[in-house]
Amino acid sequence: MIRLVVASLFLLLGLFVFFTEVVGFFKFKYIMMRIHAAGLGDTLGIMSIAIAVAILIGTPNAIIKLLLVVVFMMLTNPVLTHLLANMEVKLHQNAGNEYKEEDRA
Amino acid sequence: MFLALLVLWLVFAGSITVSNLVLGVLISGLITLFCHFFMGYSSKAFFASLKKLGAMLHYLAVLLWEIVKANIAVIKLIWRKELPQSNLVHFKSKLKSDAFKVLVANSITLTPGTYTVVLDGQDYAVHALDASFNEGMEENVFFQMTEKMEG
Repeated sequence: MIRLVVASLFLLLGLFVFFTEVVGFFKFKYIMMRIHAAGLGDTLGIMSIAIAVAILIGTPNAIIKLLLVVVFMMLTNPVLTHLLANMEVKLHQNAGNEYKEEDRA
Repeated sequence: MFLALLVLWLVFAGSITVSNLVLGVLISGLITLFCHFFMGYSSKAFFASLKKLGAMLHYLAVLLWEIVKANIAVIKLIWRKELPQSNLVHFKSKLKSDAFKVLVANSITLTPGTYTVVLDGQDYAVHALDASFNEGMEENVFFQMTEKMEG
């Protein structure tokens, strides 16, 4: 019973994070800022849902597999985000209008 | 690396039977040989990197905590009415090895609210959702920890 309650709390947290992600995605009007909103679900969203499922199932085998899911997500996502942002900065002519640029080199 | 691959195979297979074990040994051996001959893998370097395991685990724990903190900050920003002022900061790092540079860049991208746009030699360009996320970016905790690991 306690297990179910804790698991549903984590599940609700994950759902809330994903909901916020979608809201942010539609609130921001520009690609570079939308990427930030999309980054929410990849990290805290997937983590809390994996924790919830791990608590619900509870076998070691499933827990290791869920851990692997999170690890692979964390390894592959930054690469894609970086490529997307890099292409946007390189190809979009007016990209600089949407943010302040600062040089601290 | 052979053992790590074998353990991964057994985890995916779900049970330890003779057929699983034979196939796993065969495939892990083939992958290890392939990496040895074509991708510059050496067991010496692998065991040398295992010595830093403690520091890496500490880094992972700090990374997870930073992710949770950054998530809360971004969620707050999204539910606020006014739009945040994003900015892009260029700076140079003192890191020398490519592996650590990529590790730090990936960590910055993984924490919501900031991501690396350009990583070229020593030059970083980091985009932040709100300008406050970029304050003190060039001496944040990831850079401090990797610089300590580099020695």
